[in-house]
Amino acid sequence: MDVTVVWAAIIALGLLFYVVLDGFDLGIGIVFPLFPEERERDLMMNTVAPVWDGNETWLVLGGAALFGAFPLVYATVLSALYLPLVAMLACLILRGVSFEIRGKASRTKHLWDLAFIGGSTGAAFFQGITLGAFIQGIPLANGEFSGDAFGWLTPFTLLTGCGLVATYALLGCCWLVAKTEADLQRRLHRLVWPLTLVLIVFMLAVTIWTPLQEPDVAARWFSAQWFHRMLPAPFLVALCAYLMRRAARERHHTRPFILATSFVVLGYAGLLATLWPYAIPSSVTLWQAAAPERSLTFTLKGAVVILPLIMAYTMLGYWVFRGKVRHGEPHYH
Amino acid sequence: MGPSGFITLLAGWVTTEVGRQPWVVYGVMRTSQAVSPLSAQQVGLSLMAFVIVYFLVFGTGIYYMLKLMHAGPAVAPDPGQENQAPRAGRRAQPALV
Repeated sequence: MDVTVVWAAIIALGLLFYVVLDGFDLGIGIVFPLFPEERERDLMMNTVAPVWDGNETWLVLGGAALFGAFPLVYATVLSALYLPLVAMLACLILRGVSFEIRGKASRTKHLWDLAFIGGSTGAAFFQGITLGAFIQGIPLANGEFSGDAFGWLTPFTLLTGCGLVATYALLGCCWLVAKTEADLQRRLHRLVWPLTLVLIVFMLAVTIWTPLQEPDVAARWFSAQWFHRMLPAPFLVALCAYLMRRAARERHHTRPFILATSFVVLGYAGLLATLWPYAIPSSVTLWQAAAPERSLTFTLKGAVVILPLIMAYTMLGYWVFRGKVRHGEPHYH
Repeated sequence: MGPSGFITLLAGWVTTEVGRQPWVVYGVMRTSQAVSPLSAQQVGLSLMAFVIVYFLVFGTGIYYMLKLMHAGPAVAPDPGQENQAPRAGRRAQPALV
């Protein structure tokens, strides 16, 4: 286990935490249009008001770790995906501001509602595009990005964009199921299974399209080494789907969220299996893109101290604000 | 007195960023060598996006701050006066927009 793989694992784990944690924050904004009543919208935002800030910082951790540990990836991939990433940032800014201002606004509250919905959906969509464009690969020449400004805009990336919106919608809906009660929770429970089906359709579409488009990926998936490792994945997804249907029917509180997270983890594992051992598919391996080993070791010593601290205070925050959120409770800012 | 903090911050940043040109790593690498292969249109588009978003966000923020300053500090209700009519011109909790 060399330090390059350790850093790749840290970045992969950090991004997984981001997808799950900010996934449900953004997901709340994505399902907002289905719940137009103002009191309910206030309640839904209150469920994440104390934790959404910290959730978003996992993206910063992933990006900064990429800068430190795999500078070639940071330089080339972020240049190639410049436009979708800038769009995503603008959406995240609008979403973040709407969290704070919406609670205080009276005349313009509906505008900030739109900012919240648009920002959340846009951020999810552009993150999905970034993911799809990354899977497609980045054209390189002499260690520099050599493609054009719109290489990220293809039918495949539009599919992954919509797929990630569906993922976050399910995560958000399941989080709200866990944190609300009474009539609102009942209506959310009715959403869970349809959203799960939509997600499964997208997962299927991406799983079929990726090897068709990328012959290297197809070769790897069906090779002797990987095939038997990836074979359980579709069965696990089917199992999660069955359990999710039962959980929604029987009105479980937290089980939908756990199962939604399982879907994300399964999809993410498939993604990692697709990418290994490349840092930039399919041209640059992890070891080619990594910073010098001395840098990696030095920064690893810092990370080993900081990361457990971050996990600890994050868990403390969720534990302090555990339980259902009810109408009339004070704003958690 | 109020904006002096902002002015000092900006003065410091301008000194740092302009003063080190044409180097990005002083004495080792020039800025022109460190530039990414992005077209001017892309970077210009992102600059425009940032300007628009920041005008929106800071504009709203400054409007809110001015409104808060105009409303004055929130007055804690005196227990003996709670049942009387509120004093004219003073709201206990300033609303935004």
